[in-house]
Amino acid sequence: MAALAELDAAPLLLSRLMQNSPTLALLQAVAWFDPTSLHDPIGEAYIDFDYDAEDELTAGLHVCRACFPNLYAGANALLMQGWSERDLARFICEGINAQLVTPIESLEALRYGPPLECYGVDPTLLAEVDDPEHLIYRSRAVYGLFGFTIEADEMDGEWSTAQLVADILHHSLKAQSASDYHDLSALLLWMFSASGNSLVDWSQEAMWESGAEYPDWSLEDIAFVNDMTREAQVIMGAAECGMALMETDAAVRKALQRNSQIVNKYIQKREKKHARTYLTDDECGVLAHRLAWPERDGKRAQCPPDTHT
Amino acid sequence: MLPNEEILWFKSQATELVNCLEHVPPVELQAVVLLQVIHRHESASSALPTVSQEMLTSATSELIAYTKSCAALASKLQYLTPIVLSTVECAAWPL
Repeated sequence: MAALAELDAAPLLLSRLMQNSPTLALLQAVAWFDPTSLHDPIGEAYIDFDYDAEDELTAGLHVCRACFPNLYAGANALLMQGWSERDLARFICEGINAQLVTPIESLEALRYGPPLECYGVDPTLLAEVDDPEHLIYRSRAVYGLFGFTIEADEMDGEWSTAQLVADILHHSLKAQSASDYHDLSALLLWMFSASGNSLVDWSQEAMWESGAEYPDWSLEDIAFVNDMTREAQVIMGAAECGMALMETDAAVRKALQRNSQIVNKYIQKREKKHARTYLTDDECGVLAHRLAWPERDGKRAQCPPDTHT
Repeated sequence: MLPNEEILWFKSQATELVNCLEHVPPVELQAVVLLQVIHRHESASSALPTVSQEMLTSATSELIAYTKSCAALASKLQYLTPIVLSTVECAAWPL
């Protein structure tokens, strides 16, 4: 019995003895507070952590250690309390998601970096999406106003000319004082991949195939992805409102069609004369100035300034 | 400087450096202090007890930063320029 009691007291005794040596005390502190670093004594994981070679929990702890020390400290404490891997993974996943605008579904997704949710549209998606409530499906009617027809897996029409038309319409719309027209402008920016926000302009597939360097799990990259996602969500929210306007207001729909035809004709005429499809800033400004929009919310339609910026 | 003198000079410098390093007090890390407190008051078999999340986070962050700076220092030491002993000649290289 006495031997058993001594055995029980052994860990405590050992711990106290370790505290007498600075090196052992440091090692013990690392084992308690930063166990992940014991797998990486020379600090290589900071440079190139191999997500494919590690299990999800290790990857989760690595990300927490690099970006969220409070979460890392909490996870280590729970690890010491004997939490199961599944519960610990859920704790880390929820903790990381609290810091992200677009959440991850599981720790497995950590290997791809902070999640990038793309809203962009392309001809393939236009043909594929068959949910009538989906913005992409609903946008078919608006593409139709630009002279596009959606076939099985391709879109028939002059994309680059339509982009130029949309750019001039956007220039005209953003000069209107009624906020509805700003929403319509956001809708066009999304439809023709011209917002300047990659998440709005690229479809998920286009993003994967772009070869662009993906953000990493660092505080700077997470902040960048969160900012970009918030901006994209604002644009997409406005685009949704713009679509609702198009679906409910026949006068606006007619005006958009009429204006796109005016711009289109001008471009075609210009092409015949000068054999070129691009317009100078001044030409765009003058053209945008000619376009008229119905009065909305008691606000008279305004003409944009001549200079195309 | 004669060869033996040069070697003795380097030896004395090395001894001085070792003495100097030996007298540097250990870094007082929050994590180590926290463990000492825990061991003084509670059984070592229990998991991190009665420590606030803020304290835990602060100790962990400091320890991570310390580990990183140690790794960076070790990496720098690997690339120190060697010092050539100008007067010492090796008559032959032992196999």
